[in-house]
Formats: sequence, C-alpha cells, structure tokens
Amino acid sequence: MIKFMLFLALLLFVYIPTKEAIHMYQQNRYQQERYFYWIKQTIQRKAPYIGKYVLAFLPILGLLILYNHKNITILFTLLLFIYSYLCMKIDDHKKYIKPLVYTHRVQRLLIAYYLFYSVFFYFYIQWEIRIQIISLPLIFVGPWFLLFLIAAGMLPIEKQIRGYYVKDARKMLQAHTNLSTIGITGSYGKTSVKTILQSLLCDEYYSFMTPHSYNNLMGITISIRTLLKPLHEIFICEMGADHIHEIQELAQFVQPQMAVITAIGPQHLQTFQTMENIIQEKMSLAESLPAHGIAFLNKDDPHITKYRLRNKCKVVWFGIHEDADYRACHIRYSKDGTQFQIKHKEETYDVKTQLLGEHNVLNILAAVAVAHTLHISFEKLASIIAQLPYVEHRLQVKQMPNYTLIDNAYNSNPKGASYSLQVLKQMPHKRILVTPGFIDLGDITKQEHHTFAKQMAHCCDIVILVGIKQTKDIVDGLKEARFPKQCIHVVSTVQEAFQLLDKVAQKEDTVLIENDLPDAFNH
Amino acid sequence: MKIQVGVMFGGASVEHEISILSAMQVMKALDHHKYDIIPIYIAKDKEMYTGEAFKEIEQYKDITTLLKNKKTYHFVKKQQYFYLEQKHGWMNKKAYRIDIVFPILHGTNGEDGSIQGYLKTIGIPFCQSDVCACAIGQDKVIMKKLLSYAKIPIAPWFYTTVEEVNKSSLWLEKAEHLGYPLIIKPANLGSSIGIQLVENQEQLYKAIIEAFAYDEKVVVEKVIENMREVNASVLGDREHYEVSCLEEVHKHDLILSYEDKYQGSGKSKGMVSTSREIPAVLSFEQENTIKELAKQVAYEMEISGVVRIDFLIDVDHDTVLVNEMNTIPGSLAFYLWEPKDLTFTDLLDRILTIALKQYRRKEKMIVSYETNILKDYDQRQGLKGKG
Repeated sequence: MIKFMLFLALLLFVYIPTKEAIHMYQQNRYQQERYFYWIKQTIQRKAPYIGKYVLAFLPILGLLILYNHKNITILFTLLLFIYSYLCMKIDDHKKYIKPLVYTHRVQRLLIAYYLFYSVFFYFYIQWEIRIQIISLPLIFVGPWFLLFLIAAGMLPIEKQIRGYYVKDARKMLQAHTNLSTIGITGSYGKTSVKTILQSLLCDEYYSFMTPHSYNNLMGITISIRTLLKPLHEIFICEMGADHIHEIQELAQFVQPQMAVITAIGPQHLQTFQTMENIIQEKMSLAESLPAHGIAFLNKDDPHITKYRLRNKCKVVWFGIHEDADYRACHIRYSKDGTQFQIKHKEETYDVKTQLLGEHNVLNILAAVAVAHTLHISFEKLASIIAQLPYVEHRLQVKQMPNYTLIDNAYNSNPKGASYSLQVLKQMPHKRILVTPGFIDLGDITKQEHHTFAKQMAHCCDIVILVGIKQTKDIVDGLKEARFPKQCIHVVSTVQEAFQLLDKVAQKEDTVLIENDLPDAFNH
Repeated sequence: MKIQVGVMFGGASVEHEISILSAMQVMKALDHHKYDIIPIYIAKDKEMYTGEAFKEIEQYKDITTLLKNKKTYHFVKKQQYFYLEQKHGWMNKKAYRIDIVFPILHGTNGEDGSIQGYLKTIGIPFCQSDVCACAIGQDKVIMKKLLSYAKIPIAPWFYTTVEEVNKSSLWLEKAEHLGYPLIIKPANLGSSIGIQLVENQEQLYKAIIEAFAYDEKVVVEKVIENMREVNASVLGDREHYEVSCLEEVHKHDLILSYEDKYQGSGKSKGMVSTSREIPAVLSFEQENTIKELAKQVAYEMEISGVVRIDFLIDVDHDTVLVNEMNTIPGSLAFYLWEPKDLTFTDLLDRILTIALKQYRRKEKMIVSYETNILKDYDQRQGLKGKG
C-alpha cells in the first residue's frame, strides 16, 4: 500500500518537468537539433544559479540521514507530494506567451512518457531507500533529457501518422479535377501576398488559402484535409522552406499551375547554408510548373532576374523600379496608408490602401498580377484594394488605449525590418521600437544587427530591446551611431517590455513591434 | 469530381405533389456530366428520405408503400463536408455527400423561407432566393406593402386578421369602399387554395371565415372585371436580372382553380398543361412595361435564381398590375426560357452558378468576432457596467 502511494507520488512528481520538456520541444518545432541547442543554451544560462537548485533539494539530503527510520518511505512519499504541489503552484504562476497546446502529438508523447515511467518506477520503488533518495534530483531533470529517447521512439509512429494524412490530402487533391492551384513562395511577403490575393479572387471564384502561416508539408496537409470543399475552384497555397528540397517536395505534392515568387533574401541562411541554395530552392517552384503554367516574378529582385529559369512556362513580371508587366509608380506614403498607380500594357489605374510600407505595394502588385491574369477587371480590383484589411502581425495597426501599435510580430528579416522602420519614421510624435533583433540569420547576424541599429538611429526616438545577450550588437551599433543612451532600454522578457511601454508611451505615440517573441527564444 | 446536388422536394405543404412533379423534371434535366443528383424527399410528416427509388415518378402513385421500410435521413456536418446520413443504425450508416441543395418545394415550409433558414443555419449552400425574399414572396400582405412602398402598381386591396374580424367591422367598411365583386385570399399558401370570389357581404364573411382555416391574415382585392393574365420569369441576382418570354394564361373560370391548374386535360402533368399562350400576344408597350416591372419587382424583393411574376392587365384602363410572385415557380418556369434559347439544363446550371456566388459572398461577411465580451461580465453590473 505504501509502495503504491510512493508510485503515485513519483508519477505526480515528474509531471511538471515532463510537461515543460514537451512544451519546449513543441516550441522548437519538434526538431531534435533545435531542442538540443536549446538545452545547451539553457544549461549555460542556468549554471550560475545552481546554488538555488541545491537548496531546493536539501530536505532530500536530510531524509538520507534518517534512512534507518521505520517510516522512511512514508516520509519520502510525503516529501514528494509536497514537491509536486510546489511545482504545480509555480507552474500556475508562470505566464507563457505561447502556452503548451495539447495536440494529439503532445498527447501521444505524454502517453509514451508515462508508459516508460510506469515500468521504470515499478523497479525504482524496489531499490534500497538510500539509492532512491539520492537519485531523486536526477529524476527531476530526467524528463528534459529523456525527451530525446522518447521522441526518437515516437518518430516512426509519428512518421506513419503523418504519412497517412499526407496520402489522404494527396488523394483529395487528385480527386478534385476542377481545382487550380497557385503556389506562393519567397523569403518574405508570402503570407501578405496570399491574404491579399484571396481577397482579390474570392468575389469571382470560390477560392481558399492555407490559413495563418501554415506553409510546410503538415500545415498544407491540414489545410487541404479540413478546408478543401468540392465546390472550390482555386487553392492558394503558401509554401515555406528552411532546408533545400523542401519547396520541390511541396511543389510535387500540390502540383500548382501558377507560381508567385515574392522576393529572395538571407532568411534561414543558417539552415540553407548558402545564398545559392536559397535562390535555387525558391526558383524551383517556378521550375515545377507545367508548360502551360504561369510564373509571377519580382522584377525588382536581382537574385530573381539574374537566375536562368529552366522552364518554358509563361513569365509575368511585377515590380516598382524596372520595366515590369505590372508596374507601380507615383507611390505616396502617409500614416493612414498608401496611394499609387498600376501600369499594365497601355493602361494606368489608381489604387489606394490602408496598408503601410513599400513592401506592401509590392505585395499588392504581385496579387494584382495574378488576379488580373485570371480575368478580374482593374475596376473591381481597385475597389477591393481600397478595403483590404491588415494582415495579422504584418504591420497590423491596432489602437491601444495608450498608444498606436504597429504589430509586425512575425519572422523579421533585414529588408522587411528596414521597410518597417521607414513606416515608423513617418509617424508623428514619439516613435518607439520594440524588438528582439533578428533570429535565424546564423553567421551574418552580427553585421545585420549593426546595420539595423544604424537604421534605427534615424527612425526611432526610443528603442526597447528584448533579450540581453542577443541584442548586444544592436546596443553597440546604436552607441556608435550616437543614439542617446537614455533612450535605449534592454529588457529580458516581453512582459517587461510591455510594462515599460505603459510607462514611456503616450496617447499620440506609435510603437512598432518588429519580429516574433515566443518564450523559447527569450534570454 | 462531380458536384453533388441534393434536390429537395415534397414538404409539409398543400403543394406537396406538385413539388414532386417539378423535382422529377429538374432531376431529369440536370447535366449528369457535371452533377451527381441525390434526391431528398421530405414526407408530409417532415421526415427526409433518399435513394434511387425516389427518382422515379411512378413510385409516388402510392407514397405509403414507397416509404414502407425506407430509412429516414438527416443532415450532418463532418469537418467541411455535409452529408445526408441515415438517422438510425449502428454501423455502416449510409451517407451521401451533399455539396449544394436545390429546393424544389412549393408553398409553406418550402417557398416561405423556412427551409432556406434551416439550410442557412446548417451552413450548406442552396439555390434560389434567400430567406428574406422567400418569406416576403410568400406573404401576400407584406409583399403588397413592399410593392406599394416601391410605387409598383397593384390592384386596390386591404387585409384583415382574425382579431380584427372578431373585434370590429372596419373590414366590412373597407370592403364596401373597394366595391364588389372582391377576391379573398389567405395571406400565405398558394396554388389557388382557399381563394374565393365574393359578390356580397354574406359571401364575403363566409369566404373570410373559410380562409382563416389556412391563415390568420386574409387579403381582400378588388376584382378586375376585364383582365388578362400575363406571366413573366426573371433570372439572375441583384447584380443583373434578365426577363424571359411572356405567357398569357387563359382560364375556364374567373379564377384558375386547383382543378384547372393541375388536373386539366393535357399530356403531361404540372403547370405545362393549362391553357397557355407562349409568347403572349401584346403590344410593344405592354410587353416593355411588363418586362421592366418584372425586373423592378425582382430587384425590390432581392430575389435570386429564377422566379415567376404574375401580372394582371386591366384592359379597361390599359394598366399593368402586379399580382403575385413565386420564388420557386412550378417547373422552374423552364417553358418560358426555352423560346429564348435557354435550355432547361442550361437554366439549371445558371441557377446553380448564381447560388454559389451568393454563398461565397455571404461567407465573406463578418458575422462574429474573435473577442469574447463575456470575459469581463460582472453578474451584478452586467456587460455595460464596467467602470
């Protein structure tokens, strides 16, 4: 009976560490390399505070002294219950920006963990009490390391399940003979172009798109399985990649008739390794098109124009600065939006939108190129553009009680960030920037942060940097540019940043949040 | 992949059998290359049935036998798909995927917006007019009020209710004011049921009381002694309407009775066998007036798909009056479009395309917000009580 209670107490004891481990695995996109990197970083970060942890486990050592006591097991069990309670209480108070989502996959991991624990603790409770007590701290940190084993064990099952879903989605696509698919890829601008294109097309065609930022194999699979209806005529599919071959695989899966390549930049350079790889991979979407397909390409991007396309399909160019098929000119920016003209063949059309920034002009242009090619008149397009809503987290303007917020909290890149800063520059009164800097740029992060800092100095009045270590180069860059020191604030968490904002921002001020800030990357 | 069209017919209405006839015609005329047809028969007790047997007109000679041992069905939604699934059963419940519903129901519970409302609540696309247009089209009182507002000419009229008839004699005075003979119609229903011609007060009272068996509101119209009945069909949606060929209906009695309409001599059953003249012989002005009025009525009533609008030409005063509107006309008025080189099959295709456009547009509209205002709800202060 006592042993059974001990068994239960142990299962309860490991719950919080297990949950945290799975949570961080989820935040690291279920990728073992990223998770391993995160564990390494966490150990390095927490090493100075080892004393605190030792203190927490002192009562355990106390028990060791009493090992001979006849009720030692009961005491041990009670102590475990107390620890479990404290862990849960602490966890209750932790505020995560992105809490753990109990997806089916997470549930499977939990089941796998507890199966392991059931077997392990069965034997554990039969060990000599002193050994039990001493190994307790190890059991506490165990889950974080055990994850590698459990995840590896689950991999074949996950693969099977994924494979089934992908096959199912592929079958659905093939059965649907009337569907035209438009693939959209590029280093940035994908979600914006996709969202704008959907707005432009949905009046005339029954079209649907991959929602939010679902742009990998599983995201696209879920989209098809839950959204594709027999009545649909057009599928707008966003395709993202951080390794080579990923776009090719997606193109083979979805088999688009049209492709849009928004722009090419150094995003995910760390995982792609070279710029050539990035260019090759993005352009492979255009190369996967059938002979009667149409590729819509950005004429302003030298990476794209210099590439020799290995496909005889039709190409339609869009852009601002060169002679594109769909060209934007007479662009005027203001804090309420943008106005410009679109030139196509001999015709010129005026458009205006509440969307901000030069890159949005390009995004609209790309979408117009596709919609117009699909026989939607310019008059209609202009009226829809006038009513385009903000895209979630892409320079999305929100009125907060104490300031105007421009939410650009998504995967930032150097080019996009410079556009955002230009937008911030035009705002009246105090211009405040909140950012963790760039993530995922690998080796070139340092120089890009320097450039970013220099731009900031011209465009902002106050800068709030999130993450002491990762923004160090930005601070240096700002100091070099003689940016007033009292206007530079460095905080550790997003919550602190917002608290600071409430103090420094006033009614007419504008705050720009540049780049995503989830919990795993905050330090 | 073929689109699965659920053709819905029957219904709890006095026009149940007529609806079956119309539906049989529609199911035969739909393009089998583009669409897969699933019959959805609504019995008089409101249960839904389906199956190959329900596509044959002969089976309906004895409906009781037809329904014996047949399973009942209902709509279910699984992810983004709609199915007509067997209600009862353990395993292997038969289910048919329905992508769009084509209601061919006439009269109450079909043409009055109720079935449209049901389908809209489920979220499945459907053909023909939306809830509002159907409801108004079926309620003669509201329709006449709307047409009056839009200054569209109608016969002099008034309406009375069960309450008014019991409490006062206002209605009698209004009747005297209009002048006999008068025609009495229940506000709802259709197909000439409950309709009577009256020539004096006694007959008026009797007819109104009889009409109250069908509805609580009754319309009283002045009879146009010397008149011609001309019908027009309109196809389209708010963006664009077109008018069909016009027909003139020749009657045996002063009113086309139920017998006239459906049991008249003629080779095929249904609307096609009454005495009709297509195209109607009219002057250029008359034809033009009717066509323009038809489009105007369609626009004011916000109809969608195909409708049939019935007009009365007051020969003595040479005016055109709007009489009635049918949002789901018998046989979908295909015989009025054939002379214009629009085949029944193409007409149906157009109706389906219009329906999809309507559905797409409605889907885009914001009908709910992500935020939850109940989050700040305080029982004592209510939602508006926040400091």
